[in-house]
Amino acid sequence: MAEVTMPKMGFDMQEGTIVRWLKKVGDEVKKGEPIAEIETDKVTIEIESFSSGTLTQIVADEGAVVAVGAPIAILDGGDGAAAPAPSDGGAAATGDTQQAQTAQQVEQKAGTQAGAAPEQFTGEGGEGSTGAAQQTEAAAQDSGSAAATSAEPANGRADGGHVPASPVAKRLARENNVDIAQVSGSGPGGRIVRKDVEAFVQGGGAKTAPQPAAQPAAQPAAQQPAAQPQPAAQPAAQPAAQPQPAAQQPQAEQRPGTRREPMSRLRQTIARRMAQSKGPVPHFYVTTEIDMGAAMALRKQLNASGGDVKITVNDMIVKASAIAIGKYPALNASFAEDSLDYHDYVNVSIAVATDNGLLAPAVTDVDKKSLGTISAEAKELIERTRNGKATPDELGRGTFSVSNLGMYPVDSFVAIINPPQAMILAVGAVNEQPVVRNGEITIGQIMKVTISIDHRVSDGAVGAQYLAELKRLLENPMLILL
Amino acid sequence: MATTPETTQQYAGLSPEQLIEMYRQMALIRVFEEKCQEMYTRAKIGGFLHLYVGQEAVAVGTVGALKPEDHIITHYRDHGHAIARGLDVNPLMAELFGRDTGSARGLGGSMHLVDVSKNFWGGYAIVGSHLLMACGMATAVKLQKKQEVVMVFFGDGATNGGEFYEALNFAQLGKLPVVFVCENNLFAMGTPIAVHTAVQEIYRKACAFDMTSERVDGNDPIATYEAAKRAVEHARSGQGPVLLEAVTYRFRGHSAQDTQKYRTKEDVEKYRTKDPNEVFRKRLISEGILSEEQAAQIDQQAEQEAQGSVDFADQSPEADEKWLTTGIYANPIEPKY
Amino acid sequence: MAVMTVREALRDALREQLKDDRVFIIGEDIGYYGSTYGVTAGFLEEFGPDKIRDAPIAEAGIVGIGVGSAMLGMRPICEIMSVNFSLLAFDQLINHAAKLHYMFGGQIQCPMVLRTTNGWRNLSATHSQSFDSMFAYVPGLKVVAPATPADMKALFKASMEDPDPVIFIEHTLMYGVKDEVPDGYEAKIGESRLAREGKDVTIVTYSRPVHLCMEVAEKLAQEGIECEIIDLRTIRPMDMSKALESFRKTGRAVVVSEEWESHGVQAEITARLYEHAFDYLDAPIARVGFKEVPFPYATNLENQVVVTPERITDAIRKVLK
Repeated sequence: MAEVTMPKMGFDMQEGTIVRWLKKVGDEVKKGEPIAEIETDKVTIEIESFSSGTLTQIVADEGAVVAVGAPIAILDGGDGAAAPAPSDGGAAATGDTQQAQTAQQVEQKAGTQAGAAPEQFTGEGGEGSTGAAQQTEAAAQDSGSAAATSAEPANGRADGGHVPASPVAKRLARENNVDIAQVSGSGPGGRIVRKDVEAFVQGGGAKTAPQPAAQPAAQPAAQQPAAQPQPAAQPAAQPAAQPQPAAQQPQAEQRPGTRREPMSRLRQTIARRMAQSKGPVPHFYVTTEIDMGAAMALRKQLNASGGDVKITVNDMIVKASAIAIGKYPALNASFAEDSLDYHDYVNVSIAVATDNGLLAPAVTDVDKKSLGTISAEAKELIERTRNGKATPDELGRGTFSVSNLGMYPVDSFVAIINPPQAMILAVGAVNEQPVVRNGEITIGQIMKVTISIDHRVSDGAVGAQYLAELKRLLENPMLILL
Repeated sequence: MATTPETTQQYAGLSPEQLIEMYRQMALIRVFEEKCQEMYTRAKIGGFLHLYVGQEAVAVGTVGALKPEDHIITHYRDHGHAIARGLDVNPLMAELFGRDTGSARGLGGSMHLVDVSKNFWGGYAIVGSHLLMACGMATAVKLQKKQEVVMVFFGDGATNGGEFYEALNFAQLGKLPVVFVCENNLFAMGTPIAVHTAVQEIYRKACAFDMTSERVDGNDPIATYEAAKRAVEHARSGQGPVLLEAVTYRFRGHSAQDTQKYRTKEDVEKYRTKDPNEVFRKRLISEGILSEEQAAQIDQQAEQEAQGSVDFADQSPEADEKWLTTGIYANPIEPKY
Repeated sequence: MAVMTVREALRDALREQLKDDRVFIIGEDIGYYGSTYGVTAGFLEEFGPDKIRDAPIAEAGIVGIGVGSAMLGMRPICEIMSVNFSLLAFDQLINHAAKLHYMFGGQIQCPMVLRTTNGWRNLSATHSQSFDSMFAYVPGLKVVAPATPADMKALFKASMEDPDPVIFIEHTLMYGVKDEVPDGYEAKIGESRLAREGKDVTIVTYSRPVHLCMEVAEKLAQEGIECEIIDLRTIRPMDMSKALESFRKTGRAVVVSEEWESHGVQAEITARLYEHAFDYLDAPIARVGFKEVPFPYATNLENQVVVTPERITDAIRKVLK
């Protein structure tokens, strides 16, 4: 008994169509005799029988499309030739279309089952299965690793937007737990390059705590609350101050006794904004002492005269600072790349300590409003800010800032400018101190004020003049009431 | 059977044993090739398969004129030359099946059979290119002061490309010991000779180089042997190369997938009635060199050998993966990172 | 220690090889004419016509003779006068020389060395090309392109001793380059050379541009820019280890070669830098090569096509931004 199979008539032939049987059931067939006509996608040709015998069965009728290697007829007896290899498609060495098909299927399946275990292929011919399984594994590995790469979080991209940075810069940022978005880039198009990250790290720039990858980034800069720094650890007051010792390299592992807490989004933002300010903004500082005696007395008077509003020292400082700035519009301006935005309104940001960090809502048109109005508005704003209810507009509309630590035993401190503003006042406590007046030593109510000014916007002389004006106003407080 | 002087002359000096051996080779080539066709249709052989069916007399006659130390380099229709040279059919079929036991470890396939131990330097698949390499081999033989001859096979189609002319020029210029055997089977793949070449008697192309040449009936193994012997002696003696044209006919298509639109079945049938294998067999029997039983025995043995090679190939392991990357260079040097 | 030109170094190397019975040179005009670039001048008289074989103008034949004789145990040196002509021999090189060992299951070897030249200078479109990448593309070939006299000599020896087909690329504008050739100096196929140390930028190059880059580096050093130069020497198989080590240090690279700027060896070098040192990349890698046009004849036009110190300098500056 011999099986006649669809022959492979071309190296890329996969199937053929029976066009016409040249023999019918019962006919004698001689080895080498044409037995049928088949059609491939190229031609119609006769196929021959490789054994002799009687045609006992036609398996594929005329018109049938049969895959290469599949049976089309049965021959009986005759030359006793052994039955050919089972019609499993044969284990061809090379160019076996079935194997190629198998391999293709395997690859497709592996592609859609990323990471799935390789499929078992049996019975497709010895070589086919080995090759196919290996291909599956390789494909699964490839798609697995591809998945790993794509799932990799963009560490160091705090705000979710695209930060152009070179691969080595990103890696260094990652390794040093630096939020790459805080680093300003010196490369073409603002690209952050290696030396920018290195400089940032050495400058003791704010570091992110390691974040779980899923944490969303903080909001984009435009909606940032105007963050104020905690001044306690600031470096020396001169503009030419040395950077912090590089001892603040974050450690990859924690020492025992250390508790690591993820930063709140607010704190992350504050952290980033601090760095954004201190990094590129060239600060300079001017300090003066102001005798607050008269101002304190006036305040006492105002609050004692009845009415709901209780004026605070800070209210008076805020008002005075807004009036003084009228003569120095540059200090009420914002720095914008290669231009200055001069504002014809004066909104004063007031630093507010909240549970989560420093926020600075701004009272608008302070130069035009009465002290009472300012006081009331400030109070209300501060209250809402503490409750987390201040709007982004309120938090972002200031033209300069006042930060008062006078409620603490702080003589003076230096504050970081809140970009894009050009100036910030740092106000210390009012202390009783011996002073010299008219050649005599007496007791004065001395308050130290330090202004930080963006040196790109203005210079020392203007700063000094402004401070002089502020001092004049506060030491002659009736002027504030005008 | 005794050899009389007439007999010797009749058979170009070949003894009965040699004649029988020639028939045996022709029979084996025929059966082997038919087996290959069957195996190809069963998808056990892949790619391109160029069968020598009908041309057996050429290979057997020409290769029979060579000494073991002579060299053979041939084209992609190389099964006949390989078997005529005495290569064992087992590794040949295994090579076609892509097995580790193949003559080239499964790396070459049908078109690149090889056995350097028998000075069989391979089949080549780029028409005409290996003629230049034959000249290179002959250059080496001459520089090494050896007496060997290089026999290079090609078809009528190869005589139109630049390589043919470069090779004949190089060979004649250097009086290289090359025998250029053109197997003119009247078709270059599917193009009849009248359509592809200006001078259809290929041996005449040698005159452009003042090269000795001859034309012989490639279907007569004895005549072919005789002519080849003349050519080989000419080359070996230092007189220079010879172009030997053997006119023959191939019964099957150019390759296994050839649908043979370029000739009619009647044409092929006409030639099949004069099947050289049949003709030679008949002659040997009628002239008493072979008995019918002996002939049948030879046929059966050939069948067994061919089937045996299929079994051998079937049972052999597939090509070893390690050759995939390590077999490229004799001295592999890894790129560094 | 001797000081010699590239030409002299090659002549030394060839002479040494020709002592071997298996070695002969075949090429056009290498004997009677005295060789186009003077490399084999006088050799015909010295070694005789069996070993110095003037060939007809038939590049396929020249290489075919090389391949065939190599198969039978000779160690032929095939000279293709200009790499532009090698196109005629590509079938012999790529379909045969490169494939023999593999295709015949290791039974056949092809220990042939093909010497050819890159080069240009008012030679027009069909005489000024380089096909480094086309040779380097093919598994089975080895491709060597030294730049210094010492490397020419040492790597030619290594090429001849290698049992595989080696394409040995010379440069017509380099034959006069003079430098020290230390006694006993050796070089291996597949090993690059650190030509100059520097910390700022990595230059990866080979063949003639090595000298241009050294020139540029000297000038830039005065500005405080220190270039590190890697001379690859072998294009296939390529040794990227020194280049990668350098690139990990600098993060910035310029790849320089005399070939059209797309689809060439440069692309391969660049890809390997990106692939194996991605996390050290600090700026996109720059490539300097021929402008992608067929070579024009006029000098003023040709000068805009070729690799110049100015273009190399510009690329370095761009990469350092």
